Formats: sequence, C-alpha cells, structure tokens
Amino acid sequence: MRNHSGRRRRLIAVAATLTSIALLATGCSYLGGDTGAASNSKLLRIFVHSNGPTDAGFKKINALFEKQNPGVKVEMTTAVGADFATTRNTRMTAKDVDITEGSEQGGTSQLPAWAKDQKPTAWVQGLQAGNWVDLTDQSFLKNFSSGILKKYEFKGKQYAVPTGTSHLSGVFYNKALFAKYNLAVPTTWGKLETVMKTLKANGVAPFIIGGKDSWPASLPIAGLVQSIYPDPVALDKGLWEGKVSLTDPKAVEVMDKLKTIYANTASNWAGMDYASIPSRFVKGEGAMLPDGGWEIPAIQTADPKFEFGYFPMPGSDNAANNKYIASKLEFSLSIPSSSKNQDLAKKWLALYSDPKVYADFIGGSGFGPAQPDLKLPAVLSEIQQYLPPSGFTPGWDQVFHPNTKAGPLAMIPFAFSSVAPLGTETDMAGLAQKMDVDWKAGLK
Amino acid sequence: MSASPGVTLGAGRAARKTSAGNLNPFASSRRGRILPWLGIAPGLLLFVVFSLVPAVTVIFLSFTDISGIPGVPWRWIGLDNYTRFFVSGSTTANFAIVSRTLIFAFSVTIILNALALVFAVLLNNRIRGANIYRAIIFMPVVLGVTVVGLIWSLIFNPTGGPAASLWGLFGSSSAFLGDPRLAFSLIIFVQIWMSLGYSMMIYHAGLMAIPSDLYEAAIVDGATVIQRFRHVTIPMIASSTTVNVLISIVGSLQTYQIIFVLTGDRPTTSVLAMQIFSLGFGGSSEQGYAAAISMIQFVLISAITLVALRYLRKKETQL
Amino acid sequence: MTVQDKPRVVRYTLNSGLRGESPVMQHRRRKPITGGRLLNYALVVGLAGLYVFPLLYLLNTALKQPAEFIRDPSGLTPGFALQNFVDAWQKGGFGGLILNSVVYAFVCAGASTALSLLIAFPVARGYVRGSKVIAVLFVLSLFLPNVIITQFQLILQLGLYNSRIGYMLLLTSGLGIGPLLIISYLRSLPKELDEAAAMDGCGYFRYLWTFVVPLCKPVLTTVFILQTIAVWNDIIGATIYLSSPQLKTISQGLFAFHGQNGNNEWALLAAATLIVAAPLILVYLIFQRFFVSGALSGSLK
Repeated sequence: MRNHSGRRRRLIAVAATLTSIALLATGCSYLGGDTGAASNSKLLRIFVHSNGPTDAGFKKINALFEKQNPGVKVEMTTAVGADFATTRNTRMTAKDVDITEGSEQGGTSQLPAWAKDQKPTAWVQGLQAGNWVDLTDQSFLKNFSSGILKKYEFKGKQYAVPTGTSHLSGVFYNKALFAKYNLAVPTTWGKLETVMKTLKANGVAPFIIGGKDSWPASLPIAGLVQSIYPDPVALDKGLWEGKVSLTDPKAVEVMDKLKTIYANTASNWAGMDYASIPSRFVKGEGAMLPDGGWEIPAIQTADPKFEFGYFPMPGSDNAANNKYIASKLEFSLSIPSSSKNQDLAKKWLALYSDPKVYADFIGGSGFGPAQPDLKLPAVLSEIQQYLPPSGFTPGWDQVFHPNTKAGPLAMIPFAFSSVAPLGTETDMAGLAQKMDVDWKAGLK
Repeated sequence: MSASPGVTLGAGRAARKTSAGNLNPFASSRRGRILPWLGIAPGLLLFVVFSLVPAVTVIFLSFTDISGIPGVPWRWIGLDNYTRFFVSGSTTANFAIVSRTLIFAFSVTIILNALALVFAVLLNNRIRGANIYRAIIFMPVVLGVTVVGLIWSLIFNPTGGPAASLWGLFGSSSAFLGDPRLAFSLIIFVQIWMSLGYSMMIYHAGLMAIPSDLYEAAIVDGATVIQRFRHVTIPMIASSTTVNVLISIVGSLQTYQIIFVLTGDRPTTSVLAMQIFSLGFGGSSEQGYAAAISMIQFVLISAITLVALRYLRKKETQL
Repeated sequence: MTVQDKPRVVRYTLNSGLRGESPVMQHRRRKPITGGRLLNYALVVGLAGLYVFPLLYLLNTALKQPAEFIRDPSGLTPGFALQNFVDAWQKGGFGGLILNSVVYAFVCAGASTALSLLIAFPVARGYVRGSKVIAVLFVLSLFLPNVIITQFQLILQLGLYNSRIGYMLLLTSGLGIGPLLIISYLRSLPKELDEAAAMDGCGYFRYLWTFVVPLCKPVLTTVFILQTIAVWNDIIGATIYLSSPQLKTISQGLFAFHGQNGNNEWALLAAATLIVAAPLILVYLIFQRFFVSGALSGSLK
C-alpha cells in the first residue's frame, strides 16, 4: 500500500513538473497576456454595457469597419449591469479603452444652484477632470440633431456622440385584447379606471410589471408625475428649497394612483423577473405594460406577429396634462483622453454617424433617433404623436437631483418600493409623511 | 546552541526551543531553523502584498471622498463618511440593514452547522453509497453562486415554477422572492442549501480523524447512540466545529452575492455587504463612502468573531 | 464473537499504531435493520432528494426547446433538445474560454494549496517565532474589507494588469481558509512523528513531502477543491483585471451570456450553465474518490 501511494505521489510530481514546463515553454507570452494591447495601433478597443439590441448593432458596425480598414481589428467587450461603471473606471485608469460610454443616460446636466452639497454626475465630474476628447470640430457630429447635441454640450464644446432617446413614461398595450373588449386608449385617469374595471371583469390582468427587479416598478411614476406636476423642474427646485412638501395633496395623489396601478397588476407580479416580462406580455398575462422604449425589440422578438402600441400614462383627469410621453437621453459614446488610438476611434465614430449606418443601428435598438429625418419603424412612428414639438421632454428621474444626506425613502421620491406588494405600506398618506421626514432630514 | 534543560534528543542533537516554547526537531543546525521560514515566505509575501497592503490602504481611503473616476481630485474629509452612516437621514435604515445582516448571519450559522453536523454523522454510519450522497450535497458549492441563484430563481417563479405548483397544492400562491416578508427567509434557505455540502465536508474530515476504538469503548460501556454522540463525537469534533462556525459567521456576514442574484439590491433584503457592493460597484462613484462602510463591516465582523472564537476555544479546552 | 464474513477491511488508525498496539481488525458485518437505521436512511435520502431535484430541474430546463419552456416552465421535457448545448457553446464563445479557466483554476489552486501547507505546518507546530501572530493574521484576512480599488492600483503599478500571470498571482494570494483548515487538521498529527523523522536525519522539506502530504490528503484535497471552485467562479476579479477577451474565463462567459440573452432564453441559459459547471463537477468527482478513500490507508513507518 505504501508503494501505491508513493507511486501516485510520484505521478503527481511528474504531472506538476510537466505542466510547469509546458507553461514556460508555450511562452511567457501566454502568461503575459496582452499588456501590449493598449498601444497596438491596429486594434480598436470598445467597451459598452451589455444590451442585446445595441450589442448586435455595434457588432455589425464593427464588421463593416474592419472590412473598410483592412488590417484593423475591433475588439468590443461588454459588462453587465452593476459591473459596468467600475470596470469603465478601471479600464480608463489603465488607459485600456478607446471608445466607451461617457454618459450612461441623460445629457450633461450640471448641478443647479439649489441642490446644495451634492456631487455632479460621474459624466460631469469626468468632463471637469478632462477625461474625454473634444469632438466639437468633427464633421460627423453635424449629422445629429442640434437640439440633442445642445443637451450634451459642456462649456460650449462637444464630447459625446449620442445614440438615441428612450421613451419612459408610456404604457405598452395589447391591441388585440383592447379590440376584443372594445377598449379605446385611455386619455384620462377616469378612462383608465374604466379600462381596468372592464379588463378585470373579464378575467384579464390590466397591468403587468416585472417587480422582482424593483426598478421596473418605478416607471409608472415618471408618467404620473408628468401628468400631475406640470413642471418637473419646478418640483425639483421646490423640494430642495423646502417650498414643496411631499405631504402636499399632489404628492399623495401620485402615491395613491401608484397604489391603484399596483393593485391592478397581475397577481404575484412582485416575484416576476423583468427579463420574463416580454414573453408574459405577448402571452396576454397583462393587457398593459408600463415600460420604456428600450423594451420594443424584446417584445418584437418574443412574438413577431404581436400587435402592440404605446400611449402616455394618463395620470390626470385633464386630458391636456396627459398629452406627452417623457423621454431620456440614452447612453452616448466618447473617446477617453487616455486612449492611444484616438484617430482610429474618430474614424469608427464617423462610420457610426453615417446616416445609413446609424439608421440601421437605431432601427434595431428600440431607441428614438438622435438624427433628424430618419425613416422610423412602425411602433416608433406611432409614438411621434405623443412627443412635444421640441421632440423631447425629460422624465422626472432625469430632472430630479437626489440628496445623499436624505433618508432612503426620499432617495427617489416617490418611495415606490415601500408600497405594497413590493413593500408593506398600504396607507399612502402615512407613507407620504415618512417620505417627507426623510427628505427634510437631508435639508438640515 | 543552548538546549533547554533536560531536553536532548539523540546523540548530540539539540533541539532549539522557539519563543512559543515548542521544539523544532529539524532545527539542529542554523539551516534547519531557516527552512520553515523559507516555506512560509512565498505565501506570506503574496498575502501581504496583494491582500494586506490594499486592505490597510482602504482604511486611509475611508477618510476621503475619492470617487473612483480617474482624474477627479479627491480630498481628506475626516470622519464625514462615518457621520453619514451613523448620524444622517439614512441612519435608521442603516441600522435596519445592520440588524438584518446579523439576523442573516446568526440564522445561517446556527441552522447550517447543526444540520451539517447531524448529517455528517448520519452519513458516517456506514451508509451504502455515502460518498455519492456527499457528492450530491456538495454539488451546489461546485456550481457557484450565480448558477445556484439562477436555479432557485427558476424554481421560485411565481407563475408556473415548481414552488408555485407546490404552493398551489395547498390552495395558495405567493410572489416568493418578491414578497417583502417571505423573500428574506427564502434567501436564508437558499444560502443554507448552498453551503451545507461545504460545512459537511469539514465535519466529515474531522469525523474521520476520530479513532474508532473510542466508539468501541463507548459501546462496550453500554452507551446509546445519543450518548455516544454527546460524549465521543462532540468533544472530538471540537476543533472542526470551531473552524466551521468561524467560517460560517465570517462568510455569512460578508455575503451579498446570493442576495444580489435572487432579489437584486432591495431595501427589504439589503445587507451591509450589499451596501458596500452597490456603493463601490454600482453607478454611484463613492468609493470613499464605500470604504468607510467596509471598515464598519470589518469592525463588526472582528468583534463578533473574537467573541465567538473566545467562546469556542473555551468550549474546546473544556471538552 | 462469531465472524460471519471474512474481514474485508483492515483499518489502521494513527494513534493505535503509534501506541504500539496491534491494528484493530474490524469485520464488516451487515448491520441489522433497526428502526434507527431506517430513520438514518430516510433522512439522508430525503436530504439528497432536496439536492437532486433542483439540479434535475436545471437539466430538464436545458433539454427543452426554448419556446417549449416559455409555454410550460415546470413540466417534464418532451424531447432532448441537445442542440441547446451546441447553440449555447457557440453563442457564449465558450471554446476559447475554457482553456483559460482550466489553466487558472489548476495552477492557482495547486499553488495555493502548496503555499497553505507550507504556512500551516510550522504555524500549527509552533516551529517559528510569531506563529501565533501569523495564525491571527490569517484569521483576520478572512474579513478584510473590500479592496478592489486599492488592489487595482497595485496591480496596475506593478505592470500586472491584463496579464495572465498577474491575475494568477492575485488568485493564488487569496489563500482564504486553507491555512486554517490545515492547521486544524494537523492537530491530529502527532509531534512524535516529526521528532522521529528528524532523529533519523530527515530534512524539513523532505519530511513534508514524504510524510505530511500523504497523511493530510483529506484536508489537502478539500483545500484544493475549494480553491478550484473559488477560482473557477471568480467573476469580479476577472472582469476588472482581464480586459482582453482572449484572457477571459468561462464563468465570465456565462455571466455575459445571461446579461445578453437573458430575455427568455432560459433553456439556452440552463444549457450554458451546465456547460460551465460540468468540468468542475468532474474534477470534484474524480478527486474526491481518488484521494479521500486513500486517506486511511496507513502510511506509518
């Protein structure tokens, strides 16, 4: 028996030695990896967050770019969700990336005077630190609409190439179900209540929301605030200056209506994965889906024959307040100043901004276009009627400035995650009180 | 070379006493004394350079407002980060998070270790195919957190998963991981499910070191199963128990991954480690604040572990 | 006492051998089926069932056609959609990644185990000054704060960023509970053995290799397996320190797969999960039988 184990041990020793020799033989290059990659002028490194439709769009552009520039290789990597921001920071510190997302959403929004003691967004902080390459004089920028470019301006210069806009305060609806029960698109809250009642009476869940991921349940708030508060910027200012309180009747109205929506959503929706929602929606598990435009490709993939539309959340009884859908600027692309391949990066961006290439990209992404005069896919053209003349009105979450010193219930007024069934609150007036206390705690 | 009085082994070989009062039989020559250090050196060096130094630096960072964004200047802000945690609008919420962390840690540790020990003993009783059972139970450890989280998310699908079918048998339904009251208990369940194999493995290794003649002697003395367990197994397992409980407490106080995969970052299921993760990793660039909370977590874990360690060591020597 | 079966196993135990007693012969009599035994079996089988079911559910999901799963998430799969595995493999680009994962896992786990033993032995025996300090240090290391940002700067300054050697050094340095487990196990190894070996002129390292390693097989295997799993499943470290796609690991591939294709490609995702988990399961099954069963095959002098 001793020989047995002795032999085994010798075998292991031999195996270990062989492996080490093999490793050393295949070269320090294998061990060394790619430390030289950053300075390779034929290699363009792109890093974006993982999003199916846009990833596919980028891959097509990369292939086209490689064809047009023989010898050049485009290396695109993505990161999922929470990992993205930190990884972008580390890669930029390591001078390891040529094109990446500068702003993940929203434009260049400087802090207004009334938001005291807060840090500006990471994008703005980066701009202040000079992290991004100035693209103002690049000719390809002219392809984009000036209104949108203005939103990205920083001290009169341009540093970002837009992708598109996402509509976020609207509600997708199942056209077939609506037709079946003779329902028209509701333009006031009262009409919405009727629609909900009819659907419920016929055993159909009015709404469906992916509650397990938490944030999808905050989307109805954008629409409700849009309708109930005519001027979101004034609301932000009022809250900060203490002139508007979260116990005001309008605030309680938002919470009450949110509670009603939740009460009319498919049973056990708090446990439903956001990723599963498109297929649930097309199966008819809910007739209406409060979600953003980015979900359009997923719904279309789930069932290409499914007919659906999009309308603004009618939070008010006055139809005039429910006319518009609020949007946000989607992520933008920028070149870090630390990149060693800036010319190649600019070339890639020029290709991306080419109207034909861009139109193809936008069509598959579900975003609203950032270039004017593009032919839009069917669902997006339908949405145009709900956009204001300027084409864009920002959603509440784009306008509000959180206070890091405030309590958690006021981090993103309104505290949707505490409302049953996501949380345990059923008394909205009481919840509004708590929200107000938390908000005021930050103002001290 | 001085040998301690009365301790000389073999012809002319003197053993050198170390400061810990132990005799190193290999250290009869100067070379022999160095050898253990030679062995320790690489591991210790790696550890110090890659783990200790960065960790100590974090202490420093917790007093700054460093954001993690390259090129953005940062400054020393003293205790501001700590004040923000303990005395600000979020304080009550923060304490709720801390208490939830403690509840999680203690529930998991106690239930996990009890179950692991019981089943390790059961499987040690000459069960046929014990190895297969052990392998099966260890499988979740092998699969990793993401996979385990995925499996249980599938199972806890409120409309159509196996759990929903089971609940349906009793005529009720639930949002499972979405239910603010049920979610945390389910997370504790999954954590225990996932870690049982790991704990069992450690107890198993410990059980194997117990000489069987002790049991024989006990049987001869007429001890019942329970008595054998109490008087033979438990004392002999003491050091395994200490290790296991230590690992469980420390591990569960630092766990956030399974919570993240199952429910995401939610106020009703958030724990301290999750806070650190979302502040240090998520979109918010507040590495300084995250560092401060890391230090708070470190102090909390150290305190609890020292107390637990002291208690367990006392029990060990008693037994 | 009559012996009904021939003695099948001769069990030496360490202590009994050293005390100079003759090895205890144990006869594998079939134990009578008592109520206690039944309960024992019932509990064990029940627990195993609680583990088998979720794994089978994953397998079941992986074998369904994607549309099939959407239609009926919890039913038994009607066919064997092995194509899922092929699709998942291609979509996830697992081919290039698996070699990386294997190399990282084995090299780092092997090195960690070796280093853990080299540290644990003298510390457990108290053969070096400051053994207690080192032990406390390693206990402390278990609850060190989150250090990504500082560790990253360190790696960057040392020129180890985006390189396999840098990543592997980092993973090897995470010894975790290895030293502690071995220290705890070494308590059952008698010091007399060390002294006997030293008296016979055995050198320190030779002693470790020829005696300690075989005697510590169970715990060394445990540490090796645990380290392999930790390295295999590391995602955050791999994401931050390896930015070139060729260096990435298979677990990262799975995570990215989930992010990109999460929209209801559960069947493919389940297949991808099984692909990523399979090598680990294999390693575990092989090593577990190979080493642990030999643990008691005495290696006394």
